[in-house]
Parts: sequence; C-alpha cells; structure tokens
Amino acid sequence: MNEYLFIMGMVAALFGGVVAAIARNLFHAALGLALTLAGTAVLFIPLGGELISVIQILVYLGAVAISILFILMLSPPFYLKRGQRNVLKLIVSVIITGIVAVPLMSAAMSVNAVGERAYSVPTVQQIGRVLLTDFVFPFEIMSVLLTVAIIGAIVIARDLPEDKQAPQAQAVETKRPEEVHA
Amino acid sequence: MSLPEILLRLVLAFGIVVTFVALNALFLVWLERKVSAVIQNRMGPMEVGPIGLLQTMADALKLLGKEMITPTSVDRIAFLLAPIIAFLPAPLLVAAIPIAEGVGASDLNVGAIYLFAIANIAFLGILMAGWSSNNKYSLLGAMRAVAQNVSYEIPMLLAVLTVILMAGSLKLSDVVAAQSPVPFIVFQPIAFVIYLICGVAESNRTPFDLPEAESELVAGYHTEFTGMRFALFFLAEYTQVFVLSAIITLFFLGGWNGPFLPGWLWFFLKTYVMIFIVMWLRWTYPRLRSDQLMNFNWRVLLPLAILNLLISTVLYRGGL
Repeated sequence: MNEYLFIMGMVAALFGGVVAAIARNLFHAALGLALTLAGTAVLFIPLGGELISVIQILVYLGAVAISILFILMLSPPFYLKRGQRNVLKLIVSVIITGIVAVPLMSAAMSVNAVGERAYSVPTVQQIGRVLLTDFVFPFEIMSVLLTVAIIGAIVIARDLPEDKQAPQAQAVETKRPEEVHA
Repeated sequence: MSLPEILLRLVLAFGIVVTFVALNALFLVWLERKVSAVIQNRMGPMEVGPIGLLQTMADALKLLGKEMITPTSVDRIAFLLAPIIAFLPAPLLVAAIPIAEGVGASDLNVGAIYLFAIANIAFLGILMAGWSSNNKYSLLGAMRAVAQNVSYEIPMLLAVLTVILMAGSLKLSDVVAAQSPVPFIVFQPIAFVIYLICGVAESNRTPFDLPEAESELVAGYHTEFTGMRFALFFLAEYTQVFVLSAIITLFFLGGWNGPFLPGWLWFFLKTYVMIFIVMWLRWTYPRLRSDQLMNFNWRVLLPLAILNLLISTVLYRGGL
C-alpha cells in the first residue's frame, strides 16, 4: 500500500514540476507547481509524517499556491499572450537550478533515509514540545521574519496621501484591478 | 495487501462516500427550497413525489442530460479540471468525519487539521474556474471568493484552536470524547459564534455570498459552466454546508454524545439542525458589501478570536 502511495506522490510531484518548468502559460506553470506541492504532501504519508503532510497541504497548497495564483490574477490580463522563449534566460535558469539542486541532492543522498529511522516519526506532542524548548530560538526568529514580511507588505501596499504620492505610483494605482471590485 | 485488494477497497470506499455526498446534496437542495419557501410564506416544491421530495432528483437528472458547453475562448485544460478540483475535497472531507464511536471511513491522528487543509483545495478549483472562463464576472467572483475564504480562515482556525486546546488532541474522536458530560459550546460560546460566522463565510452563502452575487456578477465563478460541470460546483457547495455543520457538531455540540438515542442518530440530528440554522441565516439576512465583509473580519472577528484564545489558554492551562 505504502509503496503505491509513494510512487503516486512521486509521479505527481515530478509531472507537476515538469509542467511548472516548461508551460508557456504562467497560470499553467503555477498549477503545475500546485501539483508538485500536493505530490510532495502525499510522499510524507507512507513515511508516517501525517502531520507534516497535512501542514504541507495547509501551508503550501492552501496559502502559497493560492497566493501565487491570486497574484497572477491581480496582474494585467496577459494570460492570452504566450511567453517568449529566450536562450539566455534558459541558460541562466539552468545555472540557478544547478546551484540550488547540487547541494540539495548531495545532502539528500548523504542521509540514510531507508531503514528504521524513516519510520520513527515523532508525535504532534513531541514536535510541539521540541519547538518550544530546544528550537525555541529559531522558532521565534521565524515569527519575527514573518512579522517583518507582513509589515513590509503593508508598507508597500499602503495608500499614500494624494500630494505625497509619486507619479509612478499613481500610474500603477489606476491600473490595479482590485480597485474595480472593492 | 495486494494491489487488486487495495483497488477494490478504494473503489468501494470512494463509491460509498460519493453516494453519500450526492444523496446528501439532493436532500439539502430540497431542504433549502422548503426552508426558503416557509420563510417566504410559500409552499415550495410540491409536485414531484410526496411533499416534493423527488423534485431535486428530477432536477439532477435534467442536469445530467444537459449539453456540456465549452465556450470557444476558454482555457480548455483549466476549464475542464476546475469543477473536478473544486469537487475533490467533498468526498475527502466526508471520508474523514467520524459518525459515531468507531464508525467512519477513517479517524486520523491529525483529523482536525486535515479537515481545514483539505478544504483549501476547493479554492484552487474556484480560482481555476474564474480564470479559465475568460469572463470578467467569473474572474471577479473567483477573486472575491478566494480573498474572502483566505481572510475568514484565520479567525476560524483560531476558534478551533481553543477547542483543540481544551481537548488536548487533534484526533476527532478524542475531541468528541473530551465533551462527554458537557459539550464545548458551554465553555466556548464565543468560539462557537466565531466559527459559525466564518464557516458560513467559507461556504460562500448569504450573507457572505458576494462571490456569486447574482445581481452583480451573474453567477460568479461558475457562470460559464453548464450541465454536470455546474452540478459538481453545486454538489461541492452543499457538501461544504454539511461538513461545516458536522464540524460544529464534532467540535462544539458534543458529536455523538447524547442520552437514549444511538450515537450516529445524535450526530445526524445535531448536524441537520445546524444545517437548518445555516439555511435560516441565508434566507433572513441581506448580503454584505465587500468592504463591510473585510472590515468585519479583520477588525472584529480576528481580535476577538485572538483574545478568546488568549483568555482560554490562561483559564484552562493556568490551573482552572
């Protein structure tokens, strides 16, 4: 049972990744990303990490993927145009992917993931206790980071008074689609 | 287990759950029409079957037989997938809800988070539907739906967190067991009200039905969908109402605990009473405005939910 589930999750994640990489339509690429995230969530179930799986869906599918799609909708309606392919961009993206992928791969390969360790998964209580004792400092730093991100978003999105508004900002302002439905 | 056995079990379980989803939606649509009729001093459906009970069955058959129109300038892949993805959470959610002690498709260790995580997948379907339709009303409807759902989810989860805090477990059967003598609604009336409001907002029903406000947006994100594709959105919506009421029953009303009657009967009794209340709300209140909706969420519900959680933590974990 577990093997089939794992293979299904893997296939979904890989297929989504390929779609995200090669789709010309940005919306389709975002949907591919969502499929990858969902497939990754499935991978945790046969490993016994139900909590991580559910959190993955809640955070990545429910928040990150939705926000990305939402941002695509706030942008001007470019969705009928096809994106241009460009050899230079392709090379740059391959290099960036390599820089990220090689250390990740080597790290993943160095861990002995097959065996007993993979199945001794901590319970929700244990994770919670460790988060608030041993890892309380990284945990708090993460909260600070998120708070800073929220404040930053508010500062960027805030409506300035009319006279203080920069001309460029004003031009953007009139185009914002969410003004229409607000 | 061998592969055929697994497949058989999957098909069987999925069949039962989907049958329940479909029958429940048929019944709820009939109930909704009856409730609205009573509130508006009408009779409602009367012709097909006793007191019109088979009316929705006839409607469903009509929908099945209708042509599925795909407009020429839609994004075909997303358009075809959108109803399926919007419907997908419905069976997944129903499968995780225990009906009585030990009765239910599965009782997960992380059931409480699972329910809210899976419900999120529907938003993906809504966004896909709105975007792929290539229609401004659909797009606006989808954006309103998702903005509303994402905002209302925060106080909703905070309200549920107070209950989880008191139960001390994420397992739904443990949450119900913790309410054995007294249901949590007695201790957490504020969380209950917050959850009810957010739940109604999440299911996009009046007074929070801006995403499909027919007077402004035709029908919102499902404007372009016909036949069975439209029916899938409809099924998803009514299943969401059922799931909302079932969650309230499990988290606040004591689940299957109750005297005299068997547990599953108590569960369904409480759930359908909650469904009736949600319908009652729909036919009593007018629709909110977009700004009122957001202000109410961020300025009233969210601070209230945080305060409630804080006070509950101090009272409950602080020795009381």
